[in-house]
Amino acid sequence: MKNIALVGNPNSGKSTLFNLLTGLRQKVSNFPGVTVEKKTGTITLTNGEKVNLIDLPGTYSLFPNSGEEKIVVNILTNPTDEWYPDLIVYVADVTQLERHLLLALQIQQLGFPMIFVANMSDLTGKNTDIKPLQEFLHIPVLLSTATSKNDLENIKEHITAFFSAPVNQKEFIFERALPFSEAEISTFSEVSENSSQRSLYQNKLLLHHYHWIKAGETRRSEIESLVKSRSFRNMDSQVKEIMYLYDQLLPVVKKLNPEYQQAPEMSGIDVVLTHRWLGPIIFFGIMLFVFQSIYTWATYPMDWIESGFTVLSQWFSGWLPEHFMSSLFINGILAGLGGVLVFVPQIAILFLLITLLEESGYMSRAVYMFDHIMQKFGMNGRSIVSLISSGACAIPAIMATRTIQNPKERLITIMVSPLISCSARLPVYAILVGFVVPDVRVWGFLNAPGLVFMGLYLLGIVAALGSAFVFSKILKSGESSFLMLELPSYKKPDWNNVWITTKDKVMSFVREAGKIILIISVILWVMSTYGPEQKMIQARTEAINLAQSQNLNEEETQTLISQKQLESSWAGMVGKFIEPAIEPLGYDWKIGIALITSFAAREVFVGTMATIYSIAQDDEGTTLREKMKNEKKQDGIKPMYDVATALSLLVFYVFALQCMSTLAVTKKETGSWKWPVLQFSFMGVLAYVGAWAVYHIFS
Amino acid sequence: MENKPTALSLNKGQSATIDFIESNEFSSRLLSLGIVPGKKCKIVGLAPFGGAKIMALENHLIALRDEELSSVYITLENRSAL
Repeated sequence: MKNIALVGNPNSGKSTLFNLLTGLRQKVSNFPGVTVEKKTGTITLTNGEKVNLIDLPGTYSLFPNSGEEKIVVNILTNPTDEWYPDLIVYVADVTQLERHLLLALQIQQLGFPMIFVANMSDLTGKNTDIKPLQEFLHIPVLLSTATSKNDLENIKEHITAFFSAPVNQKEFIFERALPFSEAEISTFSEVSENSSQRSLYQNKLLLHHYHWIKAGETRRSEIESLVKSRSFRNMDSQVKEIMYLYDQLLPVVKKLNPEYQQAPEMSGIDVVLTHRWLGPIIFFGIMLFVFQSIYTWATYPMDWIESGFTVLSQWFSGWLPEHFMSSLFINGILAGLGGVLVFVPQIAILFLLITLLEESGYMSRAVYMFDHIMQKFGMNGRSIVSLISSGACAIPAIMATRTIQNPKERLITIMVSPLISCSARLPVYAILVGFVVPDVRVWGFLNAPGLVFMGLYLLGIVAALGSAFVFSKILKSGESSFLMLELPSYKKPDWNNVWITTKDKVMSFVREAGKIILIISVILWVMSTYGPEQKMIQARTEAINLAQSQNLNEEETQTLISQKQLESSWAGMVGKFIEPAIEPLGYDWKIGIALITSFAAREVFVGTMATIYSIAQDDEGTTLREKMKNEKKQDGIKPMYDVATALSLLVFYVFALQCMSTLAVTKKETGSWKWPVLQFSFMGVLAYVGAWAVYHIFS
Repeated sequence: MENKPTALSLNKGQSATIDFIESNEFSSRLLSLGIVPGKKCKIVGLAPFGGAKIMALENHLIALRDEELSSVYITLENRSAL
């Protein structure tokens, strides 16, 4: 099949066009080796022929500054690439032609046949006369509004026409071939034997980008020595080329739409939205709304999903025979599936809102406002959205780092986001905080447990920023950091784009992170349900005997059996095994078991403690607290959950990465197990040291 | 070259004409964002926590860090023209 690539600047309306052309027949994956989204699809031409379409990342020129832009250069300079295009559909914003034409001219130097789509983001470009542009570029120029069906058909017809009788555009392109000097020609032609103008330019790009460009991979050292021996001045040559192309295109642009040559000014909305103190206030207002939606509103659909799975598992357990396989299916796989799907509402809502902010053009203003502060911690203005979202859940927050272009800044944001206290920590905090302070008022109006809560959240924030700072000093930076950010004019978000992005995010989470979460939750289920056979049977008999001697009713007997069996399960054994290691933190093996099982999700801590203390599932809240209060340390006198132990546990949960789903998402987003392992370890060390210190200070 | 003013020296509301862009790793990006010699530019906003400014060009806005602004050499507009 033939390949067509959509190419254009960021904010050119390229992705909207891609979504319209492919509809729902599109596939989102990653470019190999990098976590940059690769959106591909097929389109059916007017003659019935099917062709591949790829939406290449938005780029400003063939002199890239970011990994995304490098991908474009790599594909366009490498004829062996699977996505090397047969035709380029170039998308430009008709109101920004001055900048958007630059890349088009560079691509013409590479000799690609091209159809030029002049996109109208609004109606102001309606009167644009495209004739001069067509004469200048010597290729078909189509005016288009994203909403018009006719325009879409028109684009398809032109593609069809091109493939049924490929116009040889080559002869036109080099009318404006770059005026290389004799010396330049001799240098460029040494890169490869072919010395057509087209390959001269290709060779020029190889010289510019020899240290990373794929097309030059096999000849890297030769090209490098050529660059040195001919003292090829990379930056000067880039500037010279761009200046030459601007000289060519500026007169044409002037002819096209003189009404856009306005005086430099900022719109009234922007004056307010980026105002020195109104700007941040409005931003935090918007973030409060985002936070509120994933923290509170998402809980409704989450509850439905959870109760749906409860009903489903009850139905299955009534229907399936009592067998190991049934148990694996219901308590392992079904529960794991529920554990994956429960994140869907938060991911969907966050991406819905973030895409709205990105599409409208607001996000780049936020990035600009917070760039300087976040830079101090090695992060990006966009990181602040992830950090705030982490207060609800780190999973969508980590997925939201995709838009951070600098890999180091993105990685740091991913690494520290789970340190912000998420909503799953709340039940743990709630059950433990009562052991730290009594429910009294401080200075008449502050509630003591509330103050402890606030302290825990602050601790998370400080730890996140502190670790970010440390990471920024340790991690090597592959790419230089820069802002140089276009603040596009405000637009009404395109709902089609918003819907497709949200859907893609949810699907990619379920597909990629879902697998890992499912596997770990099955493992955890096996660990806490099974143990050495002899011991498990013994535990059961013991529990039944004990229940009979104490005259317990059926429900109490069942609870007792679960308790004894959990104690003798593999998880129980590991809990006992790690007791010496967690003793310095003030924990016993019972807490050890809870630490292991709550790796599934932090809130499981409460459920496990309830099982350990033999409390029926229904009334875990207050009863559990009572039971824990009466629990004694090994000496049998001192209470187990004194201030020191409770605080130590709290601090442990603030820091520790007790969440397999976060690990799964970090793996998905970084593409390697190295980072989730490092994340788990550094947060584990923080947790251990922090808990130990707190325990020793307060005991 | 050291004495020539850069866009960093512009205050909010001040206009200038771009003279040339220093050759460094950012120059091609600055140029492709429309920060081109001969164009008029104006600083129209200062970042709330410092470190960056908004530069308005003919019909678009670009946010730039201070060190990026300092690669853009300018000629200040006549005071009378302001």
